[in-house]
Formats: sequence, C-alpha cells, structure tokens
Amino acid sequence: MSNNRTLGGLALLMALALAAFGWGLVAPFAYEPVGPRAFPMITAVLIGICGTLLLIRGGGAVEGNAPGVNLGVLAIAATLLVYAMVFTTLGFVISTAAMSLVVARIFGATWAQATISAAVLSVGAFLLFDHALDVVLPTGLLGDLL
Amino acid sequence: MNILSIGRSAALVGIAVAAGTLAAAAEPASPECIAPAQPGGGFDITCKLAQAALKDAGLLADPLRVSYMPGGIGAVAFNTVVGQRRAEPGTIVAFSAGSLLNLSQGKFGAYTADDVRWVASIGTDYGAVVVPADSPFGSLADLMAAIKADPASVILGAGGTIGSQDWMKAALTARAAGVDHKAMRFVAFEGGGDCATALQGGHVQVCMNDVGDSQAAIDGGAPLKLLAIYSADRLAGKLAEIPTAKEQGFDIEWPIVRGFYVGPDVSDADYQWWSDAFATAMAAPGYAALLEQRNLLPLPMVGAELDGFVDARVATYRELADSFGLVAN
Amino acid sequence: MDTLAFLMTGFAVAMTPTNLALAALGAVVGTMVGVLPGLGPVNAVAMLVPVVFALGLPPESSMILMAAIYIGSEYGGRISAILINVPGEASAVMTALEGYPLSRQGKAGIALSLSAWTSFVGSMLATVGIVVAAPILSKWALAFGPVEYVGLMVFAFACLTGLLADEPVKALLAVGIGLALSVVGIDPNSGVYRYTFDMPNLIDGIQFATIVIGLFAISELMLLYESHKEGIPTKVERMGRSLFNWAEVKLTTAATLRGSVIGFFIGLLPGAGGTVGSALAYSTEKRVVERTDPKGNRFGNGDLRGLASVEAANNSASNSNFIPMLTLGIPSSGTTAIMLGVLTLYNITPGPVLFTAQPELVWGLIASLFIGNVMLLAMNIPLVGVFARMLSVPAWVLVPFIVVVSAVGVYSGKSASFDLVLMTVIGVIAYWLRRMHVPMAPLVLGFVLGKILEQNLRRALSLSAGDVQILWSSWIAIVLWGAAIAMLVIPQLLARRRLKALHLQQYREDRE
Repeated sequence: MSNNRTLGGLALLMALALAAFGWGLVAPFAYEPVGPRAFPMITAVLIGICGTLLLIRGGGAVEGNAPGVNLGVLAIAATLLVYAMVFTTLGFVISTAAMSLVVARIFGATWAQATISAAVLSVGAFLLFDHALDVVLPTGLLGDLL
Repeated sequence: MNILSIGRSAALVGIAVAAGTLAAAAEPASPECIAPAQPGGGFDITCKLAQAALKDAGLLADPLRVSYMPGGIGAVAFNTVVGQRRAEPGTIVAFSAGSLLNLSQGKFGAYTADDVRWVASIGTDYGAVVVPADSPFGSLADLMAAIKADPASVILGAGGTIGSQDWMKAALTARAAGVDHKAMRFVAFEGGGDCATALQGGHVQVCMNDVGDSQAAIDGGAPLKLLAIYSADRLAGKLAEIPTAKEQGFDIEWPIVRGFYVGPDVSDADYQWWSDAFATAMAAPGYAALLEQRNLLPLPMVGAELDGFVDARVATYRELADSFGLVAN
Repeated sequence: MDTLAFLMTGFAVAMTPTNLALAALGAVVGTMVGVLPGLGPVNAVAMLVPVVFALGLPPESSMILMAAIYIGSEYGGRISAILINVPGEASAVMTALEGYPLSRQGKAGIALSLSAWTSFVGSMLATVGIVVAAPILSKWALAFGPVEYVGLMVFAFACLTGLLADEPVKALLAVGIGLALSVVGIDPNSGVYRYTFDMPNLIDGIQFATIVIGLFAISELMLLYESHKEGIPTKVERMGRSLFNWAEVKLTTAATLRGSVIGFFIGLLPGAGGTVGSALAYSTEKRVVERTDPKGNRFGNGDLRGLASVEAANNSASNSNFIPMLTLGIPSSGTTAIMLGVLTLYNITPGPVLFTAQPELVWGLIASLFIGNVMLLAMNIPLVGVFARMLSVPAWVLVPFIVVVSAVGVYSGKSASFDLVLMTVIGVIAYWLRRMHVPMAPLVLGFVLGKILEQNLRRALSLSAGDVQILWSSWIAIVLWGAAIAMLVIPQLLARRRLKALHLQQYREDRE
C-alpha cells in the first residue's frame, strides 16, 4: 500500500508546512545574530532533502494489513482519542473502565473477562496512583464519592 | 523584616481575629494547589509553603495536595481555571510577579486580571544584580559606568527571555545607565540558576537574578556577590549590608511577589474562607521561619488589598512593556 | 587517609537501622516509579518532601531516602523498556534498542538480570568516582558554558551517524522530525512563540514524556494488535534460565566499563545527564563491536554489549549527577534540584562549603549510595522472574494496563487532557512511521539534542556578538570538535582500508 514515495511526499509536505509557518518567526528585536527562525528552516531543509531522496528512490513498499486489521487499529486509535478527551470530564475511573472494556474486547477478551478486568484496572489504578503515589487524578462525575 | 511589613502583619492579626468570629463557611472539600510549573520550581515551593503554613496553623483537615500544570508561567493554569474549572472551591492556583507580567502583555489569551479572584500574597523576593566575587565591578555605579561607556563591553546574563522579569530587570538597568535597551548586550539562560552557574564558570559577567536564590548560593560558599537589590528599602538581617539600587542613585525596583488565586465562580463564602485561612496562617508565629527557609521575605496581603495591588502591578507592567516596545502576541 | 576516615563516618551514618530502612524503602519506591513510564523520581521525590517533614527526619535521612529513589528509578526504567519496549525513564530510551529484541527472543530474564548487573557496576564505579575525585571534577561542570555544550552536541550528533543503520535517509528523516518537535514552544533566546498556534498548552513546548510514550507505548499497542490478528502469539515463552552466565559477563565487561566511564563524565554536566550519556555509550559500543567483532555483531537484534553499555552509562550518570549538587550546589537534574530545595528547608545552604560544613550529611549520602546499590541489585535479581512472567499475561489484560499507565504518566506532568490527545496523535503517526521502517531512537535523540544544540549555539554566538571563532575558543571545545571530526572520518578511512585489503586479497587469490 504505502511505500517510500508516500513517506517522501508526506515528508516534503511537512517540510513545506514547517517553512511556511516558520517564515514569520522573527523577533521584534533580538540580542543574537541567529534568531528564532534559523533552526526551523534548517530542519525544514533537512526533512525536505530526505523527502526528495525518498520520492526519487521509491521502492520499499510495505505490505498492507488485512482489511480487518486496519479496522482494528483504527478502532484502537479512536478509543484512545475518545479516552483522552473524556479523561477529565468523566473522571479517571469511569473513562478508564470504559476504555479498558473496549480495548480488552478488541484484543479478544470475552465480555465477562473484559468487564472484570475493566473494573479491577480502573479502581486499582486509581488507588495506586491517586492514593498511594499522590498523583492528583481527575474525579469527574464521581466527584466527592472518591 | 521591614517596617512596612510589620505594620501589615499587625493589620493581618486584626483581620485574623475578626475572621475567627466570622468563620461560618466550612473548609472546602478536596483542597488542591495547582503549581503551574514542573515539580521543584518556584511555583512548587509556593504551593508547598501554603501546604506547610495551613497545616501548621491547623486550618485544613485534609492535606492540601499539589498538582502540576506547567505552561507559560501560569498561562495554562489560568486558562484552565477560567475556562473549565471556574467554580472549584477547593482549588487554589499559585501565581508570581512573572504571571502578572505575562498577563499584562496579553500572553494569557484574552483574559485579564479581573477574570479570577485573588486570594492572598504570601511572600516576595526582589531582583538582584549578581557578579562573581572577584568582579572588577565593586558597586552598581561601576557597572553602570561601564555600560554607559561601552554598552557592548558588558554582557548581562539573565534567567529569562525577552519580555520576562529577568529581561525587564536588565532593560531597566540599561535604561538607568542611559543606554537604549536594544543596545545592551544580553544573553538569556533557562533559569537564574543556569545563569549563576555560567557566572561562576566565567562565561558571563553579570546576572540579573533574585535575592533569595543568590544569597542562598553565597551562603553556601559560591564565589559571588550582590551589587544591588531592587527593593524600595534595605532588607533585614544579613541582607541589610547590601545597598538598594535607589540609594545608589538608580531608580529601579523589582519585587517578585508570590501568592494564590481561585476561579471566578468560586462562592464568596469559599473565597472568604481561603482569605481568612491565609491571614490566620501568615499571622502565626512560625510563619516567619517558613518564609526564611524558602528564601522569601514577608509581603502578606489578602482580599481587597491584594486586588488593588495586583491591578496596580499589572498597570505598571503594561506601561513598562509599552515603553520597551514589546509587542503583545 | 582523610577521605577514608570520612567515608567510615559516612557508613556509620548510613548503617543506622532507620537509614537502612529508608534506603530500602527508597529503592522500592524508586524502582516502582521507574518502571512506570512518565512517572519518574521527580514525582516521587516532590511528593515525599512534606512526608519527610511530617516525620521529622533529620536531613541526612531524608537525603538518603531521596537518593535511593533517584538511583532506584534508573534501575526501574530499564524493566519496561526491555519487556514492552516502553522506556520507563527518559534515559532508558536506548535500553529498548537491544533489550526489547532480546525479550522477544525469550531472553527477557537474561536481559533483565544482566542489565541489573551492569547498572550495578556503573553505579558503583561512579560512586567510587565521587569519593575519589568529586572536588576536582566539580570544575569540569563549571567549565561547560554555551561554547562547550555546542561542542558536546556536535560530537553527539557525529556519534549518531553510527546509528543511521541500513536506511540512512529514513534515520535522518527521523532526526529531522525530532528537531522539528524540539522547536515547538517559547524560544528561550528571543521569547518568540514557535509553532504554538495560539494554544497555551504548547507554550512550554511538548513534554518529553508525551513524545516518548506516544512514540513507543501507543504505537506498540497497534503493532501488538497486528501480531495478535496475524496469530503471532503476543505472549513470549520463557526460555530456560533467567540469570546471565559467566560467558555473558565476560562478553560484556569491556562494554560495561566503557559505558560507565562515558556515563560518569556526561552525568557531571547539568542538563545532559543519562539520556545523552547512554546514547553516546551505545553508539560508541556499536562502533567498537563493528570493528572488533564484525561476525558476532548483533546490534539491532539484541546485542548484550549494547544493552550492557547503555545501562552502565545511565546509572553511572545518575550517580555522578550528585557531584555538581554536592560540591557546587548546582542541580543537574529535576530530582537533584528538589533535593537541594529540601536542604534549604533544613537551613542547610548547599554549595562549595557543604563538604566541610556538613560532613555527616555528605558522606552519609555517599555511603548510602553504596548501600542502596547493593540493595537494588539484591532486590532486582530475584524480581527478574516475576517481571519476566509479565510477558505471559494475555494481551487483553496487558494492553489496557499499558494505556492506563501511559495516560497517567502523561497526565501527571501537565494535568491536562490536551497532552493525552497529543500522545495519541503522536502514537498513531509513530505507528505508521515504524511500519515504514523509520527508526524511533534517532527521532528521540534529535528532540533531546536539538534543543540543547540550538539554544547553546545561539547563546554562544550572542556572547561573541556573532563571531563564530568563539565556538573553538576553549580547549574542551577544540577536543570535542576534534573528536566529532574523528568520529565522522575514521570509520570511512577504516572502511576504505578494509575494502582495499579485500581487493588485494582477491587479486592475490585470482593470481594463484
């Protein structure tokens, strides 16, 4: 599916974006001869050269996943994204239980296994991190209960 | 302790006594102090100071927990509290003069100082001019003369970038020497400690640092000396020997106040509870020692007094930023 | 001798029952936060400060506790790197390079126990170094100004060319991506906000934990899913012994010693520390093995020498980190900064006079490093079996667990869900990059080294008002530049000579 050309093309795009958004990086006044723009530009050039080389060279095709696999990877990514976004609003325990349930299912657990592991993991991790290691975690909906 | 702050403390005792009779509001649940930086920084110290002071005064049943929210000297925490955590009664956020400075330059987004409720200031530090112990500069006047004679001959090191407190101190110094702040030689390090290290290694000649950390380093045997302190009056104790910039004829003052605010929708009762709690804690006999351990000087203010102070500081900072041509971005 | 007498006093302090118990507690807590990615000694130490005060411990006891946590976390960081390819600590990024392939080959036990051993050796050598040479070496830390850091970074980048492997363009691309990520946030030299897109969460740049966890942990989950679907067992059967044998010790001794020395000197420098030290040790070792033992070279596929040198280096660095702290009062890492802060709470002012003013504290701490390391080794070897068994946990238990630990690690640093989203996005991109055979280690190093290089280069040039000659104005800088050039040129020359020899040999064979 994807090969070195895809990678090279995307690298070129990244280099262009870096350069485009970086060109305006000028300090109103500065005390040093180099300035904040030089490094982003050098980086853009480096990435651009690598991208061009890959584009020219081509090859290196990577075998695509079976369609089912891609779907699963997508499902994992989506679950993680949702988890990240509801982490503070729903709170650690609820969001973690939900995430854990879905991920365990994706990795082939039965409903019973997934439910048990989700319950154990969410509560156990909260106790470990929030209570034992004193990392302040969001309580969210459960609020004062915890 | 200077006269001014003794007066303030006395006033605070009065407030505290009055508050004692008023203390109707209950302690807020799950008290948390947000330190808008990595663990170990100045904000962490501020939160830990509150933790210790409130605990020693027996004011909190639950311990005050500290969480970390670094970003833009408080910008992230400010935006979070004004945005998503507006009404959490138990959450206080540490601020410093650096936060107010950034706020005044519009670096906290569209928000202003009126968007949160200022609870208490619990201590302060002052800007200081630090040089190696064997420096050719014996006084601030020597340094000023050298800068004036040839601005390119003196490299001013600082712990912060253009627009930061440390840069402001350097720019004010250059201005006092009669040199344009754009013509001075300036090198930014990542933190005053890095600058002090470079000073000892002979890589820079002067650092625009703070009194607390610098004096602590000197007490520890670091071969450094203070040329001037940017405070209104001489400080107490062993710092009394070091002249202010003012008495050396240069009108520069740079207090670095530290304190706390709460979200805009926190109820009056809870806001009052925090103000009273800090007033009581800061009037306690052990508080002076807590401050000294953290290299801070007293500057106790709560409630309306602090509000007025913050507004005045922000206005001053804005004028300064304008006069230095700093563009708000 | 004076030093010996002081050291004996130190042992008397460290051997009291309370202090021994605290060192053991610190070792356990340190290993634990070390294993968990994102959570590090800084968190544990910051959290313990109030506890230490509530208990009314004397200063030397709290220092001993914190030091044990600090060195313990370096031991812990390697475990998750080896087992699940997720570095538990910043300095364990290089550990995963050889450690993870070993554990996929069923040699997790050997990798864990051998790396515990080399960690121990590195730590102990560095502690001996502290005893012998701390006051002399403190000058080395001060001598490093912007100019010298530039030299060091140039040297480090030159060493990295050894990591470019079989697809140099892709490795260079990875370095570029790392550099690009490193410029996000406020520019410390000019105050300009770069690539923050008006998001306050980006002002301070992207935190290291978010990048490392995204690159390694999150992408790993998706790769695990692939193997899961393709029927490749995600569980690894344990092969035979879990303890290293004598032959393996002999094979890795030279690598361990080299790693220890490199780590020791880099650890003295504030800001560089274990990550840079282990990267340099790894690339040095790779070079050495390529030249001396081309046939036995298994770098990239689980070479014990690579693993050994990395672990010796980062543990050595975390111990030599104490030198600038104890002799100058200069913090060289977040953890030592907090330890210095704690000292001031005891009204002890850290700095050059600490050695003479507080001999019990200083020497008690040094003695406790020896004791703590012995404890950590004794604790880590039996634990190897327990940890290695983690690999036989089914994926549906392991994967949610990795997600939770990663999320907490990232969240604890910023208390914001923004970084969790960022971690996920980075993870998805990294998954694709890894499938495209873009290596992750050069990306991380580009991120770490790029920042130090850029800021110090610009600082150096503003010190000289633009004159580039300042870059080789000190002998340290000259040596480093020379070493960098040698690093780039010598392998080429050697390769050419080998090629010539090969041709000559062929020519002779043809004639015969």
